[in-house]
Amino acid sequence: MLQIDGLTKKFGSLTAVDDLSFTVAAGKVTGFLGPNGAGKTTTLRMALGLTRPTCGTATFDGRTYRELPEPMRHVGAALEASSFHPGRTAANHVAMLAAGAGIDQGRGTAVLELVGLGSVADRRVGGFSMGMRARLGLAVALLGDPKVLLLDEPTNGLDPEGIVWMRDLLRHQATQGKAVLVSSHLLSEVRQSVDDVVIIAHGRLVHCSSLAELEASADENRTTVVAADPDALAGLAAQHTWKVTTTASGTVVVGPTAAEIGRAAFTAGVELHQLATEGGGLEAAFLALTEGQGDIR
Amino acid sequence: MTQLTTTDEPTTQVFPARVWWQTFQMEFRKYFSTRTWWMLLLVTFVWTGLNVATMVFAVHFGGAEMRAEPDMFVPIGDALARLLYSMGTTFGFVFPAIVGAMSVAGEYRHQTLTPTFLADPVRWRVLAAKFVSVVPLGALYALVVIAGCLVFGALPLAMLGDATALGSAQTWQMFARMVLAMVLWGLVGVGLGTLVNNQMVAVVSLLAITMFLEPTLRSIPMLIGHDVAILSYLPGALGDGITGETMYSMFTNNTLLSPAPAALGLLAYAVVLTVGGYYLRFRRDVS
Repeated sequence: MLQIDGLTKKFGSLTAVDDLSFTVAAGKVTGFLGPNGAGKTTTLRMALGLTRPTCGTATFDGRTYRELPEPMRHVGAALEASSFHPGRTAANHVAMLAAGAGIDQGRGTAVLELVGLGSVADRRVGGFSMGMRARLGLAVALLGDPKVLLLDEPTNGLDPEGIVWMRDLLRHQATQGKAVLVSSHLLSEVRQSVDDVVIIAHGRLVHCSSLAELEASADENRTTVVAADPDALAGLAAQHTWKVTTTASGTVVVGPTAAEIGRAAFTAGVELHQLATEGGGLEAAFLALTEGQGDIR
Repeated sequence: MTQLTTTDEPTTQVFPARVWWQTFQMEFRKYFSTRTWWMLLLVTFVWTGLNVATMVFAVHFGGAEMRAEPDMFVPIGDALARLLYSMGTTFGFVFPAIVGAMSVAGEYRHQTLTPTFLADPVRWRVLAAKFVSVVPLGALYALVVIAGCLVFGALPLAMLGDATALGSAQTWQMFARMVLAMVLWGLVGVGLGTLVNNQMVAVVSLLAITMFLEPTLRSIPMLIGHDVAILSYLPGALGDGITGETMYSMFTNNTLLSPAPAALGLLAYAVVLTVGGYYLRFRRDVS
């Protein structure tokens, strides 16, 4: 299990990750979602001890990555920028890391077969496609048969067939009792493979629940409302206990129908300039959660 | 507020010999899993060999003329042969230094520090393993340099009927000191790579310092007519001090340190650069 607790990273005046807390449970695939630049990679790098947090901790069963006696047997990671020496073969890359982690060399051959690189194991990585590099990164993550898998955009560069294969593999890992965290900027990409979702925007946690709960909330009505006096609208929402999120295009009200909002505003004498029903569904819910705060920086 | 430490004080798991051995093995495998090591080894052999051969012929046919120059000190017999062999390190020292610098700077270049630190998150152990793994590699380069001295130096000397000095124990002691010098240059390379990170900048600055700045500074004693003690502590002068003689001694008469203190001096350069690089660079965030 991975526990992120109050994790914060500041780069000068920019706060890339802001007091982030969540857990990744064993036996489940957790989707770690957010727009580009939301702080997903920085969070993973802090969890792995590659980047030093400004404050907060990331622990695996109570220990930081650096404190783990055999880190690669406990945690397997494939990071987006996880790079390879172009002149080194896939087999040598894996063998070198197996040696460093005290893992049997036979396991290296096995994981290369597992990710479908068995036939190109003796080719230099410089000639590998993005998809092959993604598979090699995954092979390294699986090398120690770890309890926790942290994968940053693992489907990047994979063809549709590869994406399905990856999905099945992650599912299989979770059913074996492993904690799997998969980051993505697209909810649709991981929707079919995750149990839980952690959504961040601008380094902050904006949503954390099971996928089923997120889907249930996505079925609720969503209406974008623009009022002449936003404070009056906020007061109205508070009075009716509506769930609201503020986005660049206005206030999104979750729950009541457009008609109910219009009637309540009319009764209360709040001047509305726009009342637009949003398309329903999960993608819209995701966008509503991250919109306005999640623009690319 | 708790701080997640990436690189601070050692934790309990640092000490098992097994972990040290694993990290050392990982570093050692890195050298031999790309083609750089044998390509550089080949260049070392040819480059030092050709330079030695050139001087063998230059001294054989032009030695008398050189000796007529008042500022030149060209020895004869066995001493001349040793002087010629010592050129192996004069021209070859840079190669183990490049290998050492690349062992760190190459990781920055190819962003391979990420997998390295995932395999062993204790960074000072990784750097220490790099430092130690360069030792056998430096020795390998030195053996190739000595082979070059025999093939391109001793062989033509014998063919020209000049002394080869191979029967003298002094010569073989010098070869042993050449191995030591090359190993220490490899360690200096690790320090440079740790401090500079960019392998091109590391190598160019090494060449600029040892082949331009140092020779310029070391010619001062000749101009002012007496020794300048501090010049014996320049890295190139220390390297020459280990070998015991060098082509520079033909042109300059500044005193070199004797081999043992010279070796300690060069080791000090390597340690200071590496430790400085560790604190200034190696502990930083990896992205």
